[in-house]
Amino acid sequence: MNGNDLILQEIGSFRKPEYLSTKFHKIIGTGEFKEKASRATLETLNMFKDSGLENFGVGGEMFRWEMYEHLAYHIGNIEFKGMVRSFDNRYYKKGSVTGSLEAKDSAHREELEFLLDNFKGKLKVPITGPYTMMDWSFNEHYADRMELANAFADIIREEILNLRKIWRKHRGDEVLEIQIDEPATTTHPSEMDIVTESVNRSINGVEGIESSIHVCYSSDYGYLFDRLGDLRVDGYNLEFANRDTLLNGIGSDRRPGFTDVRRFREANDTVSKKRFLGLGVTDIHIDHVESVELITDRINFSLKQFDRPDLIRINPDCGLRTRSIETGFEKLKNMSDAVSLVRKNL
Amino acid sequence: MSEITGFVTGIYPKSEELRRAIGRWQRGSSGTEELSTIIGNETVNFENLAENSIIHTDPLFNWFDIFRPLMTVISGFSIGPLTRFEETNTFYREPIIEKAPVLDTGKLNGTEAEESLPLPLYRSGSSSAGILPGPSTFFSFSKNSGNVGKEKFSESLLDAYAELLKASGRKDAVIMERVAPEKHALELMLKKLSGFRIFLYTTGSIRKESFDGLQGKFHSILVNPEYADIAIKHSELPGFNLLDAHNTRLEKADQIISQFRKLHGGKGIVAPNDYLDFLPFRIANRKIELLKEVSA
Repeated sequence: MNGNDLILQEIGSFRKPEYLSTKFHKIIGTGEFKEKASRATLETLNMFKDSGLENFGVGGEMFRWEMYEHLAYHIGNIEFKGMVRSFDNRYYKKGSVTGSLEAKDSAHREELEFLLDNFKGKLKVPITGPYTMMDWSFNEHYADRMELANAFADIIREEILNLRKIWRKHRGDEVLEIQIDEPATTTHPSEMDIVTESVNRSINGVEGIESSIHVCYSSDYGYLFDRLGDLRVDGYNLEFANRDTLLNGIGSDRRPGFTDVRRFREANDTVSKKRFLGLGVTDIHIDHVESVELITDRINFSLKQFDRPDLIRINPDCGLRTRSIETGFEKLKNMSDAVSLVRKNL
Repeated sequence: MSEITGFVTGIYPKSEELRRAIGRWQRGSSGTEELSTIIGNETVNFENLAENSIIHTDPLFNWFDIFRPLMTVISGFSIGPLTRFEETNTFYREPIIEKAPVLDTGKLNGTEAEESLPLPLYRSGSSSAGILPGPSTFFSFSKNSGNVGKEKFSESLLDAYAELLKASGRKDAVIMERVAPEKHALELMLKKLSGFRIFLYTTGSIRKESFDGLQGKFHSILVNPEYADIAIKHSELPGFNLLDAHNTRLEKADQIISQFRKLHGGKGIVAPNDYLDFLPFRIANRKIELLKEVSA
């Protein structure tokens, strides 16, 4: 076993404490907001530490409300005309692009500066990707979807460069981990060219970063794996547990959600620069806390498909903000305990 | 009836008041009766907005997706994982087909529905058309763990639909096909739902060959403009999806009318290219106003 085997990481969001969530929109931009978001971040980081996590993300995204609107609010010529339903009674603000996109200010500076001033552990900054920003916006201005995605990519690249500058002041040459969140990827299989071009454009020529892409709830990861050679990211953090059973065992009948790990390995075999795989082992949409045994089985099954623990990282399917703080913690704790067990046998 | 009639169907976006009311009900801080009253009031508001100039169905304020409520009254399914709905940022619970579907009339009041709001499937007292996902769409959006044959599934589902429409006092049925309906499904619709006026609402591609040789016509077929010929040939009242349900940009009434006239010289329907739940509430309302303008 080496130090990079099965690194335990978070994907992004975590449930906000009530003192922050109930006042978030009323106080955002004020000193009170900064105080409450900072406190919530430190509390979440401590909880992550207690759970056994090794990469702490940005402490649960306490400075952000929702992945789309957080970035969109910092971009000019996006107008919000109302809420749009995502599922059940959950809604998000979907912006309408009514003119040429312009960066207003950094969406992540305040959060990153706070983290770097107050925390020494391993971090990973999630940024919503250009394709998802395009797909989740109403396009009233640009000629087509490629043009809009590329306009978002240019703004995101600028933001990554800003963050790298801040990062280097605190961490010197240490690599900055950037996770490009692209849940919309593969929803339009015919648009994988747009995904590839816009994601590549958003990190084009940016040195000193490790980039990953996070995709979840895809109907077919094959579309993504087919582009593995073209997409210039270093790793893929993906959701698998949602599509799996809750039965213990390492047979493929018990682990249908993880059979795509083999497809990832096959695609990875075709490229010289190997990508890592972030393996979603706990379902963020259910309160049921998967047992240590079940998660161990999921990891062991995946290792049978892709025997490179140094290229596998372990994470929840997605951000845990939809679960209570207690349930989120239990899920992370069981995930960490399962990794400890698996590592013993490596 | 004017030469052009507006049409709106499927799940309609909810007002902020209704969203909050559902949130309160989900948290247990208000009762079903209160929620039912608010949904009733919102439905009346919607009907007043649409007026008689637009053909419309129940706005389905108590449906979370177009399959789940039906799975609670039609046996043969279990409710699967949260799955992305087509190419949108919305999700639905994937139906798992375990055996051929059969209507469970005992559950028609919907009170046992745990995965949905505990209200009747359609608002009582309303005679508007019942909207139902077409058999090809239902099958394609489901996981077939029971290995039920596609034709057997379509036949049983349409039997269940006929019974359901009858039990709920409907005369018209809107069958929504988001994937190209297959020939056997079209034949079965005409046969099994022969007692109802069928509005076949297609929002994706369709195939001419599937319609060739059909015995009988639909009351109405609504299509994306490139399939206008099929709608004109195989229905009494062709309809064209000329409003964008996935963009907040507002079309202009005169342009819509001109587009319609380029496709068809007779009477017909203008519809959005999807149901309006993908838009913010106030934009959807403005699209309805636009449909009224087109219909005037």
